[in-house]
Amino acid sequence: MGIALRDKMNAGQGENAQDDIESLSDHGFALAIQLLGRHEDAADVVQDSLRKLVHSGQYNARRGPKRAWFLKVIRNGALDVLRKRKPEEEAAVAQLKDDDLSPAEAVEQNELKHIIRQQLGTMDVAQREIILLRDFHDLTYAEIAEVMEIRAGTVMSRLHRARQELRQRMRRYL
Amino acid sequence: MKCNCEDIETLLSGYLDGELTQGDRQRVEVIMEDCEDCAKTFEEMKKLRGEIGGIEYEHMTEAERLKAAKDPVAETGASLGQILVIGGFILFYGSCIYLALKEMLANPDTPILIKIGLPAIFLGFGVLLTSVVIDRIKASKTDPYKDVEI
Repeated sequence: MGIALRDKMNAGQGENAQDDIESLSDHGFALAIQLLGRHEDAADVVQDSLRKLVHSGQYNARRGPKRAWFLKVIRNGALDVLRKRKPEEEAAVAQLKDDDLSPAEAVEQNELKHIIRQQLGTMDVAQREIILLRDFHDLTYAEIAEVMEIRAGTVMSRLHRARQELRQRMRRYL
Repeated sequence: MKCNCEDIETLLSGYLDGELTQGDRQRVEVIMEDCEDCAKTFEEMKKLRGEIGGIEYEHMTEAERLKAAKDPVAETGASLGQILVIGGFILFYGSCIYLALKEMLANPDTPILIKIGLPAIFLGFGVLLTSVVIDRIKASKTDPYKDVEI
């Protein structure tokens, strides 16, 4: 057993290095953990998304760049997990975040990235994801609109509101 | 030049991301030259953006990577093979047991304890097997991720 999914991909489909299964999995996992905060949940979402897509033939049928499209699948899977999460599970995940360094400790260690990550983790999911899709995953506004299933014309204003929120939270560190 | 910061604020994000038309881009550049507040907001957003791009998040473990990359079709085929082999064994041995028991029970010389004990042992195996199968079915039905929408 253990036949790799990549064997299922059509020859010539992997012309774009960003679209091979490994690369998509890495990006997908990063988004899943950014939204879910728990390693095991993120891995399950990636596994489930890959199986559904490749097994159903959608991976091979898809023309053009696949990254934004795959992130959309991951996002939907992750939001589904969030919806099904019980309050006590949510509290356990929040506890995971609290176990990180306190902002004061992080400042001492000059870890601005660490504080930003903590702040992002406590922001509303919709604001967190739009910032990360742009600044971490480097998607264009059109791709963000596709992933989040919103109108392209609203991406800039939503993103700006989210950035302003983060900027307010980070004000004393900037 | 007086700047109404709220009017152009949203454009600062578009400018940072290279998503503005040429006209809007020039408008933002002119305003930022004159408005310290807008220039400061832009610099802070730019700094945050740079930092976010470098945040380290966990990676999948090698075991998770391998698990995710397994082909479900091959696994389904293997499961089907297992079911056929196990099912075949059950039918074959079941038939042998049935024939042996039938003959033994019909024989008036067989002691009564053996007539009760042997069928009880085979029945017990059957009950255990059924309970394991039911557990497996329950586990697969309550899989929290099987309904994840694409």
